[in-house]
Amino acid sequence: MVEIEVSKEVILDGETSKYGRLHQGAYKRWRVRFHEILYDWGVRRVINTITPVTAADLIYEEPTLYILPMIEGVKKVVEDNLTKTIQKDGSKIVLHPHYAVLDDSCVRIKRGNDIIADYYRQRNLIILYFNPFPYIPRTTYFRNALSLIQEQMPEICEAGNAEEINESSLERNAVAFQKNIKAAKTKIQNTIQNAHDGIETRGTQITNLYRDIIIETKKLEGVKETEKNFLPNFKKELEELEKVPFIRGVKISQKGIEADFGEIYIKRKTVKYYIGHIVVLITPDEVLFYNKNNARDKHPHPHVGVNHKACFSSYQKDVSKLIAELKLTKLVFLLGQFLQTYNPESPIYKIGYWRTKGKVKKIKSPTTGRMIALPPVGVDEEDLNDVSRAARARISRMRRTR
Amino acid sequence: MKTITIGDWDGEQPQIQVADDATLSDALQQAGITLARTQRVTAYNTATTVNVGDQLVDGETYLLTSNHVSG
Repeated sequence: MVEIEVSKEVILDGETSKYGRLHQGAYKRWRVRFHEILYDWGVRRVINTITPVTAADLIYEEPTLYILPMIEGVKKVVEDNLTKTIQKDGSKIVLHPHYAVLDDSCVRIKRGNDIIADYYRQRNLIILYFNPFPYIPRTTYFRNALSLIQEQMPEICEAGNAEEINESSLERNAVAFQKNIKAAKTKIQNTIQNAHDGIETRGTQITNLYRDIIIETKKLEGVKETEKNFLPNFKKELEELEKVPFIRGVKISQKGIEADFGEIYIKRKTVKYYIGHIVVLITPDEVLFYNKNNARDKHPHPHVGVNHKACFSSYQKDVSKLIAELKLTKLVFLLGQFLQTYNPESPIYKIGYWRTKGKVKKIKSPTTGRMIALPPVGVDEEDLNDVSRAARARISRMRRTR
Repeated sequence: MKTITIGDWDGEQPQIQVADDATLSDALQQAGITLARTQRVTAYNTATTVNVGDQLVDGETYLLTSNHVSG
């Protein structure tokens, strides 16, 4: 027997609730008769709904009747070129128009000017556009309509149709299956390639790690050696440190070793900048710089930040190595070099701010409202070349407002 | 004549005699030292960089160091 699948959307207020009646009372006889007729036709499934569907998705394995009826017994209005039904309670139901023909296999069945059904042979689908279950059963009406369909679609009633449908379904399914195989193949290939890439990356990482182990092991041996003979080496280094000509004095405290570098100047082209009286604190972890008298905006040096830590850049490796090996004389020599050189390409604080001795003048920035240090007047053109054009314009404007 | 010491920190540091108006370049040539692109010469007593055209200071030690760049 044919199963009727009534979709839940059918259960609505008003006229459409009548669809539920086909399971009840007097309709039961009619429903059974309807099933028999459809079964004779070869239809094996009926879907009864008023919910709009996408006809392009309607492809069935077995001949299926899709009922999308015009709901009768209600007032109809046309809005936006669409005929709408107004139910007795005032609620609207949007009637779906007849679908445009999807493909060449569509046979359109008409009664006069009315389209009553579309038959899609290759989709195993009949879309019925009239309501076989009206409020008052109109058996004669339905019987006539069904006879009309039967006349115009004799082939649907023949069993031979099944083979052609199956062939067509098989072809569609085969194409889909082939696509799936290709997709699976691509996925597997990608997985293999990713695994190869992963091995290569990890191989490089392993090599780098081994290299680091070798380097760090050597360092450890050096440090262990230093640790073994620490006190005598330390004393020796301190004695040598005090003899370094450009160091004014050396102090040892629990914080670390304080080396007084005295007055530091940086000569840059034709200008000699006085940076200040610099003292360096050397600890086992780091080197900190202090400017006793001429820090600019809390910067002890053009390459030292307000936290007293330097941006060593290429000096860093040697500095770290010399601290670890406790080669203090070489370390202070390197630090002396660092303090007396200036890299215009990446200072923390431009050297122009050390142009003159004394306190840095500050003014309120017209754009941000913050207090900013003003470069002193008389900065050489050569120094200004280090500053961007925009900054130069800003400096000129600030000077004019001073 | 001036007497200077010139060489690598960890290497040989020969003492040489140069003319009074000799420059660092002359001293390097005399000592048979070629300055690599990654190196510079620093005066030990002041830790300052010496350019190849600079005059030499009597008694000074000139050391070859890496041409570090600060950040």
